[in-house]
Amino acid sequence: MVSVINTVDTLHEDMIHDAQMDYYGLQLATCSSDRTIRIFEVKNGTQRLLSTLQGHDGPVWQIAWSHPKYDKMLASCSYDRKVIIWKEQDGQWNKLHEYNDHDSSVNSVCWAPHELGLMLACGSSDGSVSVLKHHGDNQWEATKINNAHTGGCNAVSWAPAVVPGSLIEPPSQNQQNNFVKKFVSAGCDNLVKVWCEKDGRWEEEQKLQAHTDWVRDCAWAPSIGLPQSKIASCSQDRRVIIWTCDEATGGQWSSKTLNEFDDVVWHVSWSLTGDILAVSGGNNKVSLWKEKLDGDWSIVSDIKKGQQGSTE
Amino acid sequence: MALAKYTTSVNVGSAINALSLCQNSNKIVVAGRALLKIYEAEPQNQLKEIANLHMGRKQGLNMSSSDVVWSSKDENLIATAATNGAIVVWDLNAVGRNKQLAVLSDHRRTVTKISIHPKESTRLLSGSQDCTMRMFDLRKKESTGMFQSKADGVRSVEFSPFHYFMFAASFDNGSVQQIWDYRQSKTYLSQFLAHKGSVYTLNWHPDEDERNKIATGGRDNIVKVWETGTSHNKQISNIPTSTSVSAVRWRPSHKDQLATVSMMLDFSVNVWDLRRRFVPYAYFEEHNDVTTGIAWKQNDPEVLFSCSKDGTLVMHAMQDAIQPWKKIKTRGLDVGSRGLVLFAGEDSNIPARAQSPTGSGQNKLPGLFGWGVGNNNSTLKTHDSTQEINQTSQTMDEIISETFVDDGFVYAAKHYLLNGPENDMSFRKLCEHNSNVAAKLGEFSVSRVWLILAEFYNSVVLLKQKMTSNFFPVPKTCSDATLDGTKRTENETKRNSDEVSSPHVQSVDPDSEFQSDEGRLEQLHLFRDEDLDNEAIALFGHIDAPSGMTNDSEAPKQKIITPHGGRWYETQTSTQDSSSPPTPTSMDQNSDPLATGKKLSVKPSVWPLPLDDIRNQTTVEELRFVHFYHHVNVTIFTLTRYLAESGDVQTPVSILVAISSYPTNVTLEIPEAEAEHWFNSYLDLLFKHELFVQHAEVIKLSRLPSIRMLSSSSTIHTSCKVCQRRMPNSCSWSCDHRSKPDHKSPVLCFLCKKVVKTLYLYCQTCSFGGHLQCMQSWTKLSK
Repeated sequence: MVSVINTVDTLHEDMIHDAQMDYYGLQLATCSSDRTIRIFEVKNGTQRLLSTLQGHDGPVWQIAWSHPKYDKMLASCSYDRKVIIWKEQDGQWNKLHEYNDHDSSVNSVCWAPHELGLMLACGSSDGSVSVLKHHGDNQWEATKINNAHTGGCNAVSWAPAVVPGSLIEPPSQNQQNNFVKKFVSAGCDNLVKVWCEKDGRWEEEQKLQAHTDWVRDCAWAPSIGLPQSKIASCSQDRRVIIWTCDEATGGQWSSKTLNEFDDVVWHVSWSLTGDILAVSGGNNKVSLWKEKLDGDWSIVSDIKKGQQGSTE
Repeated sequence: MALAKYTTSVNVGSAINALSLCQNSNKIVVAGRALLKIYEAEPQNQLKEIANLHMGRKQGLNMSSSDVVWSSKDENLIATAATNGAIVVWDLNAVGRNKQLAVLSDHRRTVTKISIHPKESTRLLSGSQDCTMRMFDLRKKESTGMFQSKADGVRSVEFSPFHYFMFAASFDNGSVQQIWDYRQSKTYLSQFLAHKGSVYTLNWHPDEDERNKIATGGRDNIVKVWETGTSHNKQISNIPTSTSVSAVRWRPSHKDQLATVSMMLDFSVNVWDLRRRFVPYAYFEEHNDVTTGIAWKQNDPEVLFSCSKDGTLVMHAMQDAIQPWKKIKTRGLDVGSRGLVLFAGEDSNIPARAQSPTGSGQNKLPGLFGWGVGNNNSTLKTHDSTQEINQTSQTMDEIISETFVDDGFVYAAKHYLLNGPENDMSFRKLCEHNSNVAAKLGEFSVSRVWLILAEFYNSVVLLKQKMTSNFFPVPKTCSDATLDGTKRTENETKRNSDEVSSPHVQSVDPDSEFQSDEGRLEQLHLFRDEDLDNEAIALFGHIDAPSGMTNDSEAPKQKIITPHGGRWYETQTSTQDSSSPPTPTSMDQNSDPLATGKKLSVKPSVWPLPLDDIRNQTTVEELRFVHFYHHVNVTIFTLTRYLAESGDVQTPVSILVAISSYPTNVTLEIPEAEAEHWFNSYLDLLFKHELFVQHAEVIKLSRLPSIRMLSSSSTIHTSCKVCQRRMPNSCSWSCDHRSKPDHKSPVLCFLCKKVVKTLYLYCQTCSFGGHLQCMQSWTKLSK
């Protein structure tokens, strides 16, 4: 059912930490410990290196493409405590903005849904999460949530801007332009936290507790306005947990363990439609999961890269 | 004695410039501007001051130490180097308060570094800013030799721990690193370019197996590792740090690890591993000013001492170190818009997870990176041009997943016919076509939705026909019942849906002319398929009705029953005429009164009926018809809403668009805001999949003003090709600089390369464009 269709030799000199497709799935950005970001054009199963972005003084942990509405932009975060926003113009990538107000390695960056404007959340090992907001003319305003996660924040992910349930009960006229401004963060304190903006300040809305070790990654499922919000989180404790919150039942989050893997789970990522969850764990394994009718999760496919290497 | 290992620190009172350990590493001497103290590392994990060699009174510049070294063999012998060029030798055993043994003032400028021979505890080597290195015999208390650097100020000197006569030196002009044999004072054995800028530090590897390795660090922020040899020296690795390197120290009994501190900005002590050059293996953040000196405990590589300008001496335990690799994600994952799963990981050649940090606690090396056992270079690919060892050759995988609904989404978006009149199709034909499309994708429930839709509106039309022709078909409920029965035994979970929908799909069909037995068989077949392909449905079910059928049987029931109401009305009338008995078991109460109609004479008109026309009629019967008609609309609304609710916006939007493509002013009673949401979601998805044509079609056919606006609201500004400046007015073809020849360049058609004077058509995505005719012929060709 699932097969490896393409392997890209990125020529990175060291390990790759993240790879992201752009909005249209035409370009691929990778970032590596070798301090560079590489942009590839992926077409018909072949790829071409378009550019190599240099500017970080440490391993680059994560990258994020902006919505094409705001031109072609890429945010990157690195061990060097910096967040860099890059912009492409006529095929040339240039540094647009550099944010260096974190005291430790920045582990995660995530662009807000385009409805909210150009906004970026960054999670750092110093335990704080900052939100950068663009005010036009390359003016970036930073709001910092200090001590969001004791021991460091590992991942951030924005909630979809659509008001939950709007599909079923359309928001009233005055609510129309009132998008949800929320994101979820995961940290070394074994917690997953939901943050919500109130009067220009970020407040902790929920503290989700179930993991017993560092939470590595979290992802808020895309939504088209269903009343249910879904978050997936994965942890060092080898579990993936799906958190669901039904607006109708008063916004309480309930957790369900997707599966206990036999190794650390590194990443979780939702498909565009928010119904398939990709999970990458140890042994270079990627598995796809889908919710069954009875609410249980079942594995759709299992992809393992490098059989001979990992059997040792 | 073994120390319990955890980090402990002591404040010595003033800034420390250097530290040194005695041979068994339990005593530490620290030196500063007016400071010379000795501490003992006690078993209770404390650092206790045991001697203060600074007399308190002013002792001149001799006491302003830049370096300190403990004799290798003699535990009572210490030497300090002073910024004024003096070297002071101390005897800890000396009686009395003044323990100064000798002051050697041969250097004329600051002595930067001193080193005592590892085997001969009285042989001292010094390097100074006066560009010389001197050898001293501490017994004679005099200089026994001088070495001219022929380069620049000496930054560092160090005896090799294993090559008896050898020492290395580094210099301010930086680019030169020299290896000397101290028996030959005339010239060095070899010299090589090491760094750009000053080489602040160098360190021989303390392990005998690695005796030829030297690490150097300097202003250029790079730590380099050299393999020294008699003929040539070569760089075997480097570590790019983020700040200038003021000290580098190999970790004993660790082939590839070394600690560094920085001269500015970064106050932490970093421990690096050469196999993972870009991120420290561990670091310590105890200091809040520049860290000036580091030393590993000789017999215990888990302990590291460091001193700082903030006046603290810290004994670090490796177990307390912050280990950034723990926070590193070694895998990358992304799900793209076309169902691509993207995964970045290590190359399979490396037994990456042979030892996982969580799996086995004893491994000192993080298995995470494929460090440690089994990780020899033969399994590694190297991009080897600069003699750098690359641990892993990274490859990327893209994995396509056929299970992804997105493919189906694209297929459906491309193949659904939305504009009936344009394709010269009746609504029924259109629905059947779309139903087939959905069936092909395995979306059986969606497929059925289209059929239902065809029935609804068709029955309206038919009703009119029948009424005029006075013919009512006999519903075939018997066959449906049997079908229903078999279904029930087959699959319990499907029961509800079949119960409700199969009689509907089949028996509602009053159109015996159109719907042959064959057609019914086909539908039966569909059901079977569905049962067999439960799995497939579960996979494809982003839009799945099954979820509703099992979990939420109430909703679909109501919704599908409602058509019964409508149909039932029809059936009832037919009963009167043809006395056919069937009565649906579940009937909609609302539709009940409709059945009381006695005579029906509806003016035939082409569907969809303009509501206004109907309202203009005043007969009771016709009002009832309106009622029925209204009912269908409500049904469509619940149906589409249900679909949208279950996560599918494609079908509802397609339905709405298809209906509204027919010239009618019928309004489905769907709140505009809600429909707008669906449209927006669907349009966004179409755009993401680059289905621009479909995108445009949906916008065009939409009845919602806010959606229609999308195609007419964009203001496009033309700008000069040369200076990017906006055209002064929308009609002009050149910018303000029109006098300059360059800026006059007219707009050319991309296809025929001729000037476009009138209509310029361009692609909103790639902005290529040209003459309308050219573009038209081109799109025709490229189709």
